[in-house]
Amino acid sequence: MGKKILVVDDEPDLLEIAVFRLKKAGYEIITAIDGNQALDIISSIPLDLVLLDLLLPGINGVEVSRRIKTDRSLCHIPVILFTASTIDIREKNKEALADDYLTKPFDLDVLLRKIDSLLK
Amino acid sequence: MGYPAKAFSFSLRLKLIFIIIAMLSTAILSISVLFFINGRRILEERILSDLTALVDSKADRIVNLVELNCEQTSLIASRIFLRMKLEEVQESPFVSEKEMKEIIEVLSEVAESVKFIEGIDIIDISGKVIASSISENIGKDISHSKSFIEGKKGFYLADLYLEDNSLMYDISVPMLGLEENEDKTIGVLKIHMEARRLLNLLTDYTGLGKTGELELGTLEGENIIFLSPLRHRPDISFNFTVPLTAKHAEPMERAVKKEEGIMIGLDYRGAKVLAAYRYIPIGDWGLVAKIDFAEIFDSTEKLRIKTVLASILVLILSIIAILFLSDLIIKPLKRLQEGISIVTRGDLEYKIEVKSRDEIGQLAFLFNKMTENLNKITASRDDLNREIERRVEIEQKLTASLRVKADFTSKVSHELRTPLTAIREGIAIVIDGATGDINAEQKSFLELSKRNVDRLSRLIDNVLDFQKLEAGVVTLNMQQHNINGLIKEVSDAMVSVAKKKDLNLTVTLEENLPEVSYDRDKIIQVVMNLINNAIKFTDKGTITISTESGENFVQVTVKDTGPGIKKENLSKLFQPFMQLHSDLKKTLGGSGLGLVICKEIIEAHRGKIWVESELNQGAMISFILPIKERRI
Repeated sequence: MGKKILVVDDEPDLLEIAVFRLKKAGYEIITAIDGNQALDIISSIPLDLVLLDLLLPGINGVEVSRRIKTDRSLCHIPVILFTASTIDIREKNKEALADDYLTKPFDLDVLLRKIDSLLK
Repeated sequence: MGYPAKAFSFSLRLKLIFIIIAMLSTAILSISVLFFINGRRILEERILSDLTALVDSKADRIVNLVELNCEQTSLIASRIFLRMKLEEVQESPFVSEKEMKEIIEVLSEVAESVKFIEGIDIIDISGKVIASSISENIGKDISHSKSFIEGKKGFYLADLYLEDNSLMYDISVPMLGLEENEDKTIGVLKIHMEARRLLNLLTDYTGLGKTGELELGTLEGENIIFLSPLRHRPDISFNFTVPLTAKHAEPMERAVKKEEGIMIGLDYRGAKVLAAYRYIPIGDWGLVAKIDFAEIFDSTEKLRIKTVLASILVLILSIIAILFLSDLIIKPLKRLQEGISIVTRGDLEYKIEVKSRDEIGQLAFLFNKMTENLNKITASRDDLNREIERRVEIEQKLTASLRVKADFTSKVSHELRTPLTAIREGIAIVIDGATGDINAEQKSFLELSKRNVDRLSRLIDNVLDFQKLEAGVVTLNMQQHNINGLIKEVSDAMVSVAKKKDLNLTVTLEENLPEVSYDRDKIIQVVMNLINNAIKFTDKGTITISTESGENFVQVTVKDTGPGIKKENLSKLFQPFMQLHSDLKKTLGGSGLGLVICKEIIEAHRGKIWVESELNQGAMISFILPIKERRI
């Protein structure tokens, strides 16, 4: 069984491309399109990694990441944030307590490398 | 503000009063001392002159009195009846009793008719009293007495003597014969006279105060005999004798020695007196008018008290005047001071009302003028402050709107990049063959698409960077580092890019370069941009990157062996979208913003960036970063 990755993005097109590439790379992918949905999945399904867009409808990516990282039962799950915004990405990342971040448009190869290293 | 104001007016007023009182006291004191001394002298002089006048007038009246008495005596002696009877008595010694009685009756009658005549004696040429109004005198022989001897020769005034408590004196005159014997002295007429008029003259102390008196004296041998009643010694009156050798009774001594004048000396008691004295020849008398020095001293004492009282009165009046005057000075000063404190509290509209034209008035006028000017200045300053406030407000609005703009562009970039990512990744998946094989032509077009997506992505990045830098909303993450490390890192990464074009990339770093503070990400962006540009425009040769240090800066230079830049184009280099090699634009994919962004970043570091180049000589772009002063 491949590792379970949750991908959260409100852009269905991007989501579709990412899911295609990650599935090709051998991961099992679950998707969510907003923060609430993401939190429901995180609390119900055991996950190996979370890919999180910063700007989400409802609860945003920073908040979702914080909830994961401040929960004792979930904090071991690596979180990678990605965003199109270039403003204060480092600050946001610190605030979100996430493990890594990427700026859109990102090279999917780079993303795969980051995932690999976090899941080792 | 209240306390110093009070202290100020109080002390000034007090000072003024003290100074004026001190001056006045000195003046009054010296004037009163002079007045007192002068007054005493004048008083003494006046008393002495009064005494002189008195002694003169008394002497005149005494002489007049005595002369009157002499005339009266002579008149009696010249009576024909008496002379005839005297001749008859001397020719025939036997005179009938009846005739003698007749003579005595005439004499008594005469004695009674003339005031103060107590008795009349007729003495024959042998010195025997042959007839008298006083019966016991008849028959007495007075041929040895002075009255008879001197009286024979002419007028004689005998000395004063006391008789039955009355002061008496005798006057003798010769009696002359009748007809053929008219030049022949046949006897002497002698009258006894009570000297009441003289006594009245001597005991009238008018003008002599409480202690003054008149003394009548005569010289007998070596003694002075006081003939007058003595005011201070009534017990020894009329008969007091003082020897000439005595030190006292000086005025009388001079008078009986026929001198005339004034003096301060000792009288018969030995008391100090002011005296006027003169000699009266008619009785061989000395007359002295005198007054005790002590009495004058009393007067001068009174004068002194009067002077002191007057001085005190003048001083009190002066103090009242000073208080009034000091008010005249202090009041405008106080008004001035109050006005100043009002202005000091900030009321610049206030005008001090001091209308006098003296120094204080001028001061107030000038102060008002100053306040007016200050008011004007303050008003213009207020205008200026309002203008500054207005501009600050505008600036804040501007900054806010810039932020809104930056936020807006940030959102736009997100919106732009998201579909770009989808396009790029979609193409990438197809190119990678993950969706099945594609032929070479398809792959070539897809790669072209991908390249342009990348270019569009970079363009968006650059536009955003430039916009943010220009708006000044970028905060630099400044850190102190040696820049050599950064240069090495970037150039290492770029070696492979250079190799692709067969170019050499040389790095010349100055050792022990001082540290400078910079934003690492931003400077990497600059250096990478410069090297990229150099590689882009150079076809053959070497790209040299070097560092060096200046006096207070660190310099980084990127030099290429490319075509160089025309001089007239150098200034255009840092303007947005001014690519000089428009033919290269399409193939090289520059955004036209690279150098502009570099310039913005370096200037945000307070550094400088410039280019040196000539056509066909290659180009050299340098930037410097300032070295911060090290803390020791």
